[in-house]
Amino acid sequence: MESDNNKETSKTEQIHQYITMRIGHQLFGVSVNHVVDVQRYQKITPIPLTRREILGSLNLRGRIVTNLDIRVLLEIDDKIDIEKSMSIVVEHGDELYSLVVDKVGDVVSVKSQELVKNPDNLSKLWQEVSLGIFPMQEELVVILDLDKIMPLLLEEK
Amino acid sequence: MDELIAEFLSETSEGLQTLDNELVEFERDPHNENLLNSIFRLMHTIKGTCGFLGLTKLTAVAHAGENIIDKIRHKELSVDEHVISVVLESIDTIKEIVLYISQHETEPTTDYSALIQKINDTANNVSSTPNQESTSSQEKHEEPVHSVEASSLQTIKVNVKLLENLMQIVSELVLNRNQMIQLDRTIHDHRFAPSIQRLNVITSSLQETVMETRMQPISNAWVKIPRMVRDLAKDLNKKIRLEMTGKDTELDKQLIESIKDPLVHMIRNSADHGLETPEVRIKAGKPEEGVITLKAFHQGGHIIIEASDDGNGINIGRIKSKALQNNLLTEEELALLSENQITQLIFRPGFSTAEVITDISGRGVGLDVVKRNIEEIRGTVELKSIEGKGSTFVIKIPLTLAIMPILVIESEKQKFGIPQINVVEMVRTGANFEYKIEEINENKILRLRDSLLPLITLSDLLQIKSGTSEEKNNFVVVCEVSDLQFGIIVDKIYDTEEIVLKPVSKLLKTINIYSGNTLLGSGEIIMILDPAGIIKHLTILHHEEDLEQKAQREQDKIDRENSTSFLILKTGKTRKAIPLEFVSRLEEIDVTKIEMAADKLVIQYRGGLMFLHPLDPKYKIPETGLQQIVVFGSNNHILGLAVEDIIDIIEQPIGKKHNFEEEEITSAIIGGKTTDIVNINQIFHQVFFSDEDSLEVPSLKKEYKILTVDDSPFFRKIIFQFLTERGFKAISAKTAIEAIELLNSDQKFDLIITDINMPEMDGFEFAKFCQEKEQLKDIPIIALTSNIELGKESNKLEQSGIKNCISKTNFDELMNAIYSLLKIQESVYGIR
Repeated sequence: MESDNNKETSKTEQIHQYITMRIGHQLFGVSVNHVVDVQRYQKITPIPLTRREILGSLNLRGRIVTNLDIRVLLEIDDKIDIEKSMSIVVEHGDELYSLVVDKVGDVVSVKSQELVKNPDNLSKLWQEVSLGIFPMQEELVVILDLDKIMPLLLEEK
Repeated sequence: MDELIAEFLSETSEGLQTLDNELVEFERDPHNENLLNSIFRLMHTIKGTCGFLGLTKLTAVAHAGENIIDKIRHKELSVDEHVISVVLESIDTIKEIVLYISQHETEPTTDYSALIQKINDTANNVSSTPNQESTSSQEKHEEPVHSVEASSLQTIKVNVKLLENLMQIVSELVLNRNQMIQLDRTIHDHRFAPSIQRLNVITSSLQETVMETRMQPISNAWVKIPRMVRDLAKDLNKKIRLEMTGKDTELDKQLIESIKDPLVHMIRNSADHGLETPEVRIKAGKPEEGVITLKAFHQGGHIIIEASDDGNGINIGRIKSKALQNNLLTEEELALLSENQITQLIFRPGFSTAEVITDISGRGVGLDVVKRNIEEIRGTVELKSIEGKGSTFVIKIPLTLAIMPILVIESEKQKFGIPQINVVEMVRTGANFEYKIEEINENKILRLRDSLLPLITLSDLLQIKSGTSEEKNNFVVVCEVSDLQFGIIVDKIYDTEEIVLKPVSKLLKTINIYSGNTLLGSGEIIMILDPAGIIKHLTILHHEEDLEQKAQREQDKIDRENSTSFLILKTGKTRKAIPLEFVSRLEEIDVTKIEMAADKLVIQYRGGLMFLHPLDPKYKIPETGLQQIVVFGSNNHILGLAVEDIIDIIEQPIGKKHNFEEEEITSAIIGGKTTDIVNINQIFHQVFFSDEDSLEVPSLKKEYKILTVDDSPFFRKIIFQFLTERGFKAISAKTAIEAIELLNSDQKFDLIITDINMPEMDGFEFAKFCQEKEQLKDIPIIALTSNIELGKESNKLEQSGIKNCISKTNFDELMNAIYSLLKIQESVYGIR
């Protein structure tokens, strides 16, 4: 089966689809393979004694999902208007997590060769969690590597 | 993994386990031919399957094992401890290889020829008198490859993961059913009722049945134990017999996995620490062989597992000294515990009373982990012991893991659940109720029948605030975990609901007070509290407080030292505040009981008369109903301030910057709003002493030095002003200790005015201290209090040498006392 892929597209031409989202002023992208759901704002039940990143839990069609604020990790200071926010539900390690974002945008198809290496002036953290930059016409999209960012988000400080 | 290999591994593991146990049994009963044959069959099967799959090393070892057993069967080899050990060794090696294969899908590279040689050597150690029967039985070669066990039950092997999925789906269904029932209650559409009823019944049935699929006999958890006990006995040079009852008692597969390790540990403990050596046992009049008993049975929705030994039991004295040694508890705390509670101390971390830490179980890491593991499956474990006779570990586990009833409670507008199994009772507390929350050194306590129940306020534990000023902390939920009882203070209690406990996200695993969360029938998510985790936050366990918490407490203390509590009142449109320390009580009086006395409003109160005065002159006390009163004063002068509404109590540090005006404290910003501070002394004077001449500042002959002691910064300021206005030199101290330092310095004081209620050293103790010091005993002391009923303290008053005890609000009386004690004559200061 691997051979079929090789026949049709060469390595540099693999196309990935990312769903774009805005956090603060920045556009980010997350691979559609990881995204389970996209939700409008709904009531969050706070969980006492948890750190700032854990906003609480929400009821996703009968499943209890933990709602996380990635702004803290990414050090994005812009305040979020929680009632207008949306969330991306992702799966990581058998559990579902909801990541709060300001807005969810379109899905973009990106060819491997279009993905640009992270510029050197990005902070160490962003370098680690970003797979690369996708330059769109008006804006740059930072493509997030969920496998890197989730463990960081989940670890105790 | 190759399916064949996977199946082989599964079957072989089962076979090996059975082999283990049968061999141990055989050792005790070497004449049991059936057993021996069964053993041979198993070994033969394993050898066969290995060979079939081309696992050469495994086959070689299994062959050697089969060979030696065959020799035993044919009585060519006599059974002794050594032989059995060798056979067990071969089985262990097989297990090792099987494990390796399961991880790497191939045989290990180890060379087993030495072992095989050993096994064969032992096998060839032919007994000196070979039995005649051997020749005849050699011809019989009857063993079929697979033993056919006539089993009347038809069974199917199902993947555990599949069953777990099924369980999960059924749980979701249960939740959904709960939601439907809730909706049905609100919608009242009778067309739905029969269907929902049917749904209810079906769901419950389904739930029960699915649970049954996962039920397995507890013997599955006990498989490794016979072998383990045998090995332990050998290593410890003790004689131990294992008895097991209730093998068929069923419980959920998940539970079986969870209790395996704890059981192993407890039995190790019994064998190592509980049971004595044969010599000691004989001396004690016990049979040489110690007995470890495993018992399992159902009882009221739980499964009870008892692991007991008839050894020497727990030595309470040793536990006590160990607890003191490890600084787990102080002498006083130990004295408060019952023997049973002291026994349970062995479950604390770092606790091991073994004199010599044996390799087997002694490192003290064991039992606390055991307890935790059992608590994770919502069970409890307790140790019952009779010194000299033996000990029993009692494990109690609820059978229905998935669905449990919880009590829904609310604190600061957030709802939480407490497992019903931990709830003993619920108590309504408050000023008008039978039960009151009391305090000892800032720790909250409830008097419940014969005992004092330690309390913890849920909103404090969770550090939540709702910012509303509705009635809070009205209820105490009395909880029990193992042997300990404590109470959780909450604002409201709702219903009991049956919920499906969902484990918390991995994120929250470190927060030990949640045992999970769930969706209520209404769709709300609530966290389920874990009483076992909460107990750790009770004060008794303060010792484990870390430095950070301590620093925070110190900081809080400093903040509190500079804070004053204010009672916030509303009169008309203005906001007024009274420092709480002046207030004796808050009351509600029946307005119809108000009388007139010499054109002043009075009411009979506690055997005396309380004078009423509206805080706002424009305020009219209503004709009917209840009137809120703030009570001040003491003894002869009791003032009841009639207020429109008592809004709140706010504690606030006093800063120099914005809060208080320099000269007079008339207003401040309290709780973020401009608030007038009531000059209660002035009102007091107005009500009681207005017909006497008012405040003329007298001129004094000399400069009298007065030491004031009060922990309230506000009051210190007030009294400082008061004394200075009248020509006295006032020096203030924050605490009695500070006052003592000042007294010991060069300054000579003429009078001491002290508060009664102070932390660390109170007014009485301070006065007594001064009495006992030669150079201080002649300085007269006046005590100030906000307590009306001084009668109760009269003993203390006498003993302390305090001359006068006056209400903080009654400055007139204070003045009289000062002048009288300092022997300031009327002639000195003019008009009076």
